Amino acid sequence: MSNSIHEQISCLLDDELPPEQATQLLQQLRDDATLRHHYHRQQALRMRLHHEPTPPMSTDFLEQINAQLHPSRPSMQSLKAAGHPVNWSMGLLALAAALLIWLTVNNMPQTTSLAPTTLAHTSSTHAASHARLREYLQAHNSSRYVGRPILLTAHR
Amino acid sequence: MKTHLRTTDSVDEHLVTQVQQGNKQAFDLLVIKHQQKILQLVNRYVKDPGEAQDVAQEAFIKAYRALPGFRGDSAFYTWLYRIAINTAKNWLMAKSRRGSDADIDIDEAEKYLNAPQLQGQETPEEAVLNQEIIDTIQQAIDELPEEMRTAISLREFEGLSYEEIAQAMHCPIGTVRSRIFRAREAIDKKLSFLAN
Repeated sequence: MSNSIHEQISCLLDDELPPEQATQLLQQLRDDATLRHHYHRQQALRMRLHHEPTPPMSTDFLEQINAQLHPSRPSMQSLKAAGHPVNWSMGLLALAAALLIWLTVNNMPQTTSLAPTTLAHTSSTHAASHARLREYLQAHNSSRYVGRPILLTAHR
Repeated sequence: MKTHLRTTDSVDEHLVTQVQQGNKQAFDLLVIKHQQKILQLVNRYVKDPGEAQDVAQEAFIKAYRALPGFRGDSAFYTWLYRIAINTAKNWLMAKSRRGSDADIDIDEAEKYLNAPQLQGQETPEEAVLNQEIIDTIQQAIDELPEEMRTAISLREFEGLSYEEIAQAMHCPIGTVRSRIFRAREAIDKKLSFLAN
């Protein structure tokens, strides 16, 4: 955490930060529990300087209010506070992976589909399966296997 | 002190408008900004820290629900403080009705609020710790380099704005800002061993 943010917090305590910067800093405080803890600690320090009491405050004060105001909708902030970082890039990555799998499955020759219903439908007879596999291997230039018994055992 | 009021009012006003226009998250910022002061205020009425926190949260919830009707006739924090005091008083009355503390009286609570010296309900251990904190703060201030000590004292004890301190100390506002920040860091460092 940089000193410049802590210096801004010091200014915020004194109401000496320009309004736009103050708003931006408050947003940072909302999104960063550690920073928010520092801010409240500095506020408590100021109270101590003036010999005022500093009642203990729970770290999830804001989250508890939001839980009552918006019970059905956990905020991003509460997710973060609970230790679940909101990572949009991970979400997009997962979405892209799901899309890729879907495209792969849908573009594969039917014999290689792993969908249980497809398997049930296509493996009506052993001979038919064998013929399709042979056709597949030929199509993929797998001459090594064509014309020989196909043993689907572990490769040694 | 004009800068002080203008900045606070301006930030609060902007955030209140945002909430009134439907930006619910803007209310989070108002909570973060004012929660410590509200809790401190409520704690003057409600001595139990856990209960004080519940009452302070209830005050914010009431404020949120009443915000659509807030017209800005007074500053937001004045309005919020009023809600907090009323919420604390209601809590005291409800508690009084329940009979769990027969001595609680609203008028007494008012007197109590205006007479901090009457609040001394701390245990001997708390009293010792508080005195230790006060002594540590004083020692930390005494040990500060002179320019930092002057800056923090003018700010905290004389209530001067950064601009006024800059004029008094013949230095740029940025220097004042830095000196006050470093003074606070130094005091906080001294206090950290107590927290540990």
